[in-house]
Amino acid sequence: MDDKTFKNRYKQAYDRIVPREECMERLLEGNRGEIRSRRIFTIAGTGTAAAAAICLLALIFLPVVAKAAPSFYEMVAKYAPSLADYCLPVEYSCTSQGIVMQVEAINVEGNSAHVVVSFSDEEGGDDLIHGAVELLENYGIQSYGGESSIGGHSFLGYDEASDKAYFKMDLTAVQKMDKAKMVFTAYRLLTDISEEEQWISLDTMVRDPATREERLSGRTGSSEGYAYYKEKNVFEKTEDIPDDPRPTAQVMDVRRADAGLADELTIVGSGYLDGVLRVQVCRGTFEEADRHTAFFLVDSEGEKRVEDFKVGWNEKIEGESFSFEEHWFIVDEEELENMRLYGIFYRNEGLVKGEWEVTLELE
Amino acid sequence: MDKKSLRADDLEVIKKYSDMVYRMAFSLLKNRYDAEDIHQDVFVQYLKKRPKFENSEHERAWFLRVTVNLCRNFWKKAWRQREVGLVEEELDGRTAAGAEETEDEIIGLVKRLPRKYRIVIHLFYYEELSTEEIAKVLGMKPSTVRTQLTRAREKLKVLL
Repeated sequence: MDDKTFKNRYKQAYDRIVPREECMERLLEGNRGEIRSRRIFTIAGTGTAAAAAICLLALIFLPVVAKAAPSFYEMVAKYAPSLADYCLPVEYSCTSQGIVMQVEAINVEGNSAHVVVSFSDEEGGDDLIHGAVELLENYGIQSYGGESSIGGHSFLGYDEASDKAYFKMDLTAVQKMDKAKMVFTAYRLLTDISEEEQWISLDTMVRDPATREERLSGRTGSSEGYAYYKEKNVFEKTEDIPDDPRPTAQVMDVRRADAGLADELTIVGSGYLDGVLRVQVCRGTFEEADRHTAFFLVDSEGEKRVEDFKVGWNEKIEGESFSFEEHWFIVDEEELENMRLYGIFYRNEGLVKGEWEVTLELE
Repeated sequence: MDKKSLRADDLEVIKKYSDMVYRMAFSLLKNRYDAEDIHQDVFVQYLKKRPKFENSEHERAWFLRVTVNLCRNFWKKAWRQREVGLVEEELDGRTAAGAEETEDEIIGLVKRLPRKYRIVIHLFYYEELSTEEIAKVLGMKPSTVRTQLTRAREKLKVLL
């Protein structure tokens, strides 16, 4: 349906939406003309001005001390429980950079606590939350009152109706949580998460490409894969460089020197060397995003094969650090002719840096 | 507040914006009962505050903004009270038979969009406001409005 047709149909539909006569009558008769009364708060003052000043100072500094020292909070909670709430005031909602973090649910069972937290756009703000969100490691969980504890999180999902992204926080303490509090802090959110799947042509695959040595930032794969590549001398036996224990590998040297690199997932090139299909990918700068790929070889019967090994490294290009990966498949050239390459591109593009913090009671 | 205490110009304003306010509320809420409540609240606010308007555009924007804000407050309240058992949605009894099915479908499809997208869809396609005007009504950046419209259209493409 084109835009004009949609507009016409939408207008026609809503032209027929009008309030009932009773609704107008009720308004005009003033049945809903309630006036809310104001509540007037009074503060009772006691003691001298000096005593009041001391109390005020203590109250200002106590929360700061309690936050820095969980053991201090535990002591206060034990010997002066009425003051404990003030030491670490409960705060179930926080807004930063146009995003609201809100505690939605708390469940405590013995020495474990499970908390659901949501992220949503501040009213009138930008449309930052509109799908899945990632926290990665950009968060902190601190417990007060449950002795030492460990925690983690998982993404529950994005709910369109409420326009909120939900996370579950899990906390496990050494002992039963009693009058314990938890402070959850987040610093970076990755929004704009997308997955793109596509077939990748091997028409431009280079046979016996030139290689160069690169110092790796990471490598992963099966032990058989590692042994195979070591046998093929892909991993060079270089002299250890002081203060840089990273291994090196021979990666394809297929990128044209004059080819610009976008801050995006880009397939740099593919090659076939020594019985191995290689696919090289540039992942951009990673300054404001997180991107990664997964590749599969698919045969004529639709069976998928995962890669045997993967290496990663960084290169400084025109003052910026770009991240690269090379994916390796051990496959006969004849077998490869009957296979197709398939890739899934994962992108988390919308980085929001902020300071979100909620303090909640675990009871 | 009764009919006698309402001024003639109050009645004129109410009649002028009644349908617009109701339609805006209906587009954002689940059913006409909730829309009627918001409709009442908007005009109660108008009669209490009696805002001064520079021109008719300013006046219209005020009513739209208040309607949207009251709907947002309604959503928050509904979430906290964890209301269940939604009233079944029904259209106004005065709608004509025959052509209803197609129009219901459009309304139903748009109501499946997230609330923030429904707001811009209604203001753009029904109230025919520009993205700049929508931005002023909602207190947003025009770029945000354009982004929301784009995303709403993408979601509608899938639904339609």
